[in-house]
Amino acid sequence: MTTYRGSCHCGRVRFEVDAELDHVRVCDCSICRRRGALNHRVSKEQLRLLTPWEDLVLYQWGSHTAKDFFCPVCGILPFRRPSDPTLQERRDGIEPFDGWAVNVRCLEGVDLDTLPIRRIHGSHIQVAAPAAAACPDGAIPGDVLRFDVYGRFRLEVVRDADAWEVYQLGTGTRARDVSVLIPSELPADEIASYLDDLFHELGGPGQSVRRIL
Amino acid sequence: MRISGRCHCGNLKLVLEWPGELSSIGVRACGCDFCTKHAASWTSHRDARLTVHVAQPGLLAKYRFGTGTADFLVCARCGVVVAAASLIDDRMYAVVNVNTFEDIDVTALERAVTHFDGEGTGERLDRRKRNWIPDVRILHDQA
Repeated sequence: MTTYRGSCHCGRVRFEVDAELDHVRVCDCSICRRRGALNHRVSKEQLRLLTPWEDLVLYQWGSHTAKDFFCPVCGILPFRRPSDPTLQERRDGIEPFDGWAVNVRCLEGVDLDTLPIRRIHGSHIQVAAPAAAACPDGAIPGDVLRFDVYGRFRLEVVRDADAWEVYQLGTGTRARDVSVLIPSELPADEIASYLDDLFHELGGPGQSVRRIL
Repeated sequence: MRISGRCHCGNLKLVLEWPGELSSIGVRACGCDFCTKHAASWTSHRDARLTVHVAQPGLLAKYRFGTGTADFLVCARCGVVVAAASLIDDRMYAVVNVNTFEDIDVTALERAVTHFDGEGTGERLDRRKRNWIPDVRILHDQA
C-alpha cells in the first residue's frame, strides 16, 4: 500500500490516499465522459481530506445516490462516492460500496499512461433510466431496501424496471425468494406494512417489520 | 455543421458552428496540470463560431492560472469545464472541450498531445490568434 498526496488544481482541496494502484476505472456515463476521471476505489479509511469539507461543492443528479465532490474554484473533482449498485450488479452479488472513488488524475507521482484500464459502461445504466417513470413513488431501478421481519429473518427488496424482486438474506448468503410477491405499483414506504400484513402470524404482540436499509 | 455541447447540469451550453465535417475536428489534449486533471480535450478552428449560453451567471466560474491570459469557463454547479476564452486586442478567442459535445463519439476524433510549457506569453497569444475560434459570444440567457 502506497500513500499518495492529491489535490485539485488551484490547491484549495488537498488530500492523502492509501492505495494499491493496480488499475483505474474509466466510465462512459454522462458525467464521467465529461470529467474524464480515472477512478480507483478505496475504503473510507484510506482517504484523508487535509482541507475543510466546506471548501468542496457537492453535485448530485439522477438517482442521487452518487456524490460528486469538486472544487468550486478550478472545477476539479478529486473524489466521489459512487452510486449504489445497479440491479444487474446486485444480481451478480455485488454489495453496495461504502468507500470512495478517487480521481487518480489528482494524485502526485502517478504515471497515468501505464495504469491498466477497467472499462465501466455507465452509459448503459442511463439508457434504462426512462423506465423510472413507471416506478411508483420515485423508485428507481436498482433501488435496494432491506427489512427485518420480527428478528426472524431479513428480506432484501430490489427495484427492477417494472417489479419489486425479493431476496432472503442469511449470514453471508442472499437468495431469490419468489414466494414473496410485492405488487409492482406499491410505493417503497408502504412495503414494510405490506410485509406486516403478509407475515403477521410470525410476529408477537407489538412487533412490526422494520426497514433497516 | 452545428455542434451542441453542455456541462453536465446544463447551466453552460455551447453551440459551435464548425466549417466542415466531423472528420475535420482535431482534438488537442494539453499536457498541463489543469488539463490533465480535467481530462480536457480541446478543439478550435479559425473559421468556427462559438456561442456559450449561461443559464445562471452566478454559477459560471472563470478560472485563471499561469500567465493569466485565459479564462477557463467552469460550471460552479457540476464542475465541468466547457471552454477557455482569451481576450486579445479587444477580441475574444476560445477553444472548447470536446468532452462536452452531445451526440458525437468524441473518442473517434483524431487526437494529438500538445505541450505549451516553454512558450512565452507573446508567442502564446499569437498562437491563439492564429488557431483559436475568433468569433465568440457569451450570452446570459437569464437577462
